[in-house]
Amino acid sequence: MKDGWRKFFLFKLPVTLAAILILIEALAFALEEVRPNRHDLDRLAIVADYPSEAIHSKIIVFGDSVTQDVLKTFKIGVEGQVTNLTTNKASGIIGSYLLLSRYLQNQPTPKTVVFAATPEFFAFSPDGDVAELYLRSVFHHEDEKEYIDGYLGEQRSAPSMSLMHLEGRIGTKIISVLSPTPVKFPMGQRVPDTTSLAADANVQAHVLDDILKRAERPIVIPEKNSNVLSEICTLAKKHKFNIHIVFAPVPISLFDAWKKNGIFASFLTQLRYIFKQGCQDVAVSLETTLTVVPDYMMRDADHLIRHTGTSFFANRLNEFVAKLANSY
Amino acid sequence: MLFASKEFLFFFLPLALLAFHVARHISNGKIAVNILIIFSLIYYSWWEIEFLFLLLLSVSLNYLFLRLILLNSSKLILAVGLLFNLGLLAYFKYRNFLIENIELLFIGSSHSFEKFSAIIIPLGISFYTFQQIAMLIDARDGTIKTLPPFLNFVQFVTFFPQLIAGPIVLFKEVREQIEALQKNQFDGLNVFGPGLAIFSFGLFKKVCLADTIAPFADLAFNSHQIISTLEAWAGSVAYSLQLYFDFSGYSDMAVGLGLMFGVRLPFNFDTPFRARNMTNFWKSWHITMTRFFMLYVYSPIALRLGRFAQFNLKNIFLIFFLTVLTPTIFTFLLSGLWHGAGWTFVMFGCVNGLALVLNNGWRMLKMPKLPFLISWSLTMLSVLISFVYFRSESIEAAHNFITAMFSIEHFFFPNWLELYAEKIGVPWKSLPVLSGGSYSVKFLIILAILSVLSVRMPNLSKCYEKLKPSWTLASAIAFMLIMSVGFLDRPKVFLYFQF
Repeated sequence: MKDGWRKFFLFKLPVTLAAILILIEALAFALEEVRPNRHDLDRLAIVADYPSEAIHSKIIVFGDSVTQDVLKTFKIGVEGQVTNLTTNKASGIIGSYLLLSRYLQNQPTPKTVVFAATPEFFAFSPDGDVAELYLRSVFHHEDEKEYIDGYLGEQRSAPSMSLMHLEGRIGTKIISVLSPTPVKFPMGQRVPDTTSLAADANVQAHVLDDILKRAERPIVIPEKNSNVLSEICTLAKKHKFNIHIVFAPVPISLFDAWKKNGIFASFLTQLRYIFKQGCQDVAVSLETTLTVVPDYMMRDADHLIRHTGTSFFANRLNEFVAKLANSY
Repeated sequence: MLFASKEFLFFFLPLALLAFHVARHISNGKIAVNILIIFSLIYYSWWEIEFLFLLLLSVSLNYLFLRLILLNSSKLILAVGLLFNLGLLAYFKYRNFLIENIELLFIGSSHSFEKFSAIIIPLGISFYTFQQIAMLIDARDGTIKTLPPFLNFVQFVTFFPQLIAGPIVLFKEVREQIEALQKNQFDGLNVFGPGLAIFSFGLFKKVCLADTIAPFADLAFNSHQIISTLEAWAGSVAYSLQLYFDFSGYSDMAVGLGLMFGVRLPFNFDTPFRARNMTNFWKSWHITMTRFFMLYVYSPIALRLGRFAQFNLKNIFLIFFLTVLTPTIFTFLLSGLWHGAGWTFVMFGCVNGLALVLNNGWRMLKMPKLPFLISWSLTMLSVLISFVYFRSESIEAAHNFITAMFSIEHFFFPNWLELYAEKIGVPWKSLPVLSGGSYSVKFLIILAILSVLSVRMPNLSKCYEKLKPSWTLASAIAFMLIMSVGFLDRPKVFLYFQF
């Protein structure tokens, strides 16, 4: 038996280890071109990468999960009028810029690009695992990779054995192969409710705590995000579209705190400065007042409750889109 | 330095194996065992070096107690020894809990907790204390007859594969093995090979199975919102599977490592989710801990109460109360407390104790045997409820969770199934644990796969003698090692849900 184990350690185990490692590398190589289909941004990036005759929207909406919640559920604008490119905060404004660039390369130019998000969306900059999941592994064109490297201030790590990236190089790719390929941008079909009051008027204590914590966090737009916003303006100039920035509704406690501590005012000053410096000759419209909702309309510090809160925001967006459409 | 970490797998373990086996070959078994002791002490001091001194103090004093007990079989020395060990445990593990509850009881509020809360519980203190308690009792009972050399005793307590999370080894199980190792009697690759197989198997269970389901379970238990019925059931099953694969994986790694160093450690799990009653469940879940409590807590109490009942009681219910209910509940309350200093752990023990009492009562009353599906479901229901207490941050959180499991008011479909929900008239809302369609499907697939694996996976730790150096085993080890190393560094939380 001892000889059997000796042969096992000297021959059988090394051979099977090597065989499996080679198999993993081969599988990873075979799946290299498969685009991952893990989250909404993956799917948006795939759809944006291919020209589509069905798309002729005059308005594109970007935003974070607060807006995404609305556009994935409710119909905004009339059929074909609005394209929903909302993501979530994780990919940051750079994710929206890269998505917009892709979109403009393959789809007809819109008249208006709307950023409808929380103020924090403009200040967030992804890094580490988040940047890997929402930027590096999503945007794979050479110019995109270069841009991301510049934004993050670091080169992507040299390719290593696929063994160390089993999930990213094989697991998610196999799931993508098995999943249906996304072919259109998502848009909800539900008509928003007209009532604006929630049945339950009590805000949960932990939600209120989180809202108050949110109110204390300063909103500082980092320089790299200012550069991204300037790049968006460069695209606007080149493709001749205008930019509108609107903010997602905020709970009253947050609004009061921001008013008191001047966080929102300071944020607006930063944004105005950025647009003044980097967006000359571009029509940028910046909403300067916040829409306020009662605290009980929030399911957490950032997100509106479904569907009373989200319906409220959807109605606002519909009004905004209708106004835009009338102005063309 | 956990077993499933890079520093252990690529640095500590290869170095320890190399040093131990080279010493065995070029020198002798004694040197090899001494080297193993040094590596065990390095392993323990990796976290907090100051606790190494506590461990050495505990080992030295227990050796002294052992010596004295073997000299004159003194009950008093045993009592002092037990007091020392339990005192150590009480001071380091239960002090805050005790002070907090005494203050709550007598003053109505607790202020000392914050003052003492900075004290860290020394790693593995419950395990090495229990091993030494068992050894002192065995010595007093005459199971251990002669005093081992000090270094053999140190090797028994500090042997790193079992030092921080068991299995709880009895001295009589390893004494001869340590002596054989010192005589350089090692069965070579015949035990090293199966050891590697079992270690790989345990690593795979921990890294690829337990860590895969863990973020789902965390979501359910960490949710601030009151969760729905579906989420509560999915969360409790997810956590039970996580706990099983995590702990049994760790125990398999310990057994595998033991074999690689020539020591056969007892196995700790034997497919417990197949159990059709609570007695069988506890015979196959954390087996060495159950054995400890049965041998050193339950049996002595049950024996004494049984004798009393035999001569003094006639009423069947009183006999049942005294001989079954009292020792079972007491033992399980203690076992719950052993898991952690908190009321949730006490409740964990209580639920299991009550379920066992019902189980034994049913048997004593000679009630008809239930069909497998019913008895298995009832057993798993008890287990799931006890694990909810085990995982929850507070009793209140556990009760909310259990209420969600059984209340019709909390039954909602997830929002991504709103069309179906509206069709069949079931309320729906956004559910934090089952938030997205594709994510929830992934969760349910993982849950289904792990559920099947938990009852179908072979127990290699139990039957390692049967392992043959075949191509199948080589492929299995290679696959499990590669998968485990590949998944070692993945994020343990869902990034998706942070935004």
